[in-house]
Amino acid sequence: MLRESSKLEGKKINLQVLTDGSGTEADTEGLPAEDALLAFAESALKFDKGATTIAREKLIDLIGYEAMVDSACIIANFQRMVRIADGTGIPLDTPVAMVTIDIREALGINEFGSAENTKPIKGIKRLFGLLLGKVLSFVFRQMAKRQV
Amino acid sequence: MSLVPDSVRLLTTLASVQYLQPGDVINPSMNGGRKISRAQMELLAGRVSSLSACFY
Repeated sequence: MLRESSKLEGKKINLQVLTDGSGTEADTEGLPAEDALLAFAESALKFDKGATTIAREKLIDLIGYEAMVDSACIIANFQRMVRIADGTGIPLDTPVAMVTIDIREALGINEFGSAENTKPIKGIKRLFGLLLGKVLSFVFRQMAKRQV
Repeated sequence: MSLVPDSVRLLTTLASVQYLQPGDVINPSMNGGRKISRAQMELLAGRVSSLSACFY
């Protein structure tokens, strides 16, 4: 959804930032307060109180108090979701696994330990999934245009 | 988890407050009225998931 939402906002995002946490400003037109958002998420996930305080104040300076609170909500939500998914060991739904083949391969997500709960998509399903991913991207953009 | 319906309802309610209503998730223009854009939300979501080695 980062790929699709950033396109809608006219921004070019290097998705590699999700896995390596750096390198966006040099070669992309990043999001407002992108580095500060990443620093906030990283400090929270590392349970680093000092770094979190610094990142929080920086974020407030850049985008305001309410936006900082909303950012904290997103971090909390996705940390919880990961714990639930890993705790229950659920596999990725086959349709989702099919349409995310390219991005999972590009970002190295298949190397995560929890990937072993999901069967690899192979053969004709793989080809169909890659095609479906492109179609879905188009559908998302059309859906968003109608909403706006 | 759906074997414990109240837990699923609680999860959905919490996610609706912290992230998005379930029906809004697939629409990349929706941000649930937050003070950050949907792309900023997804940047945070993706980075948190990656740091937690989340495959999902």
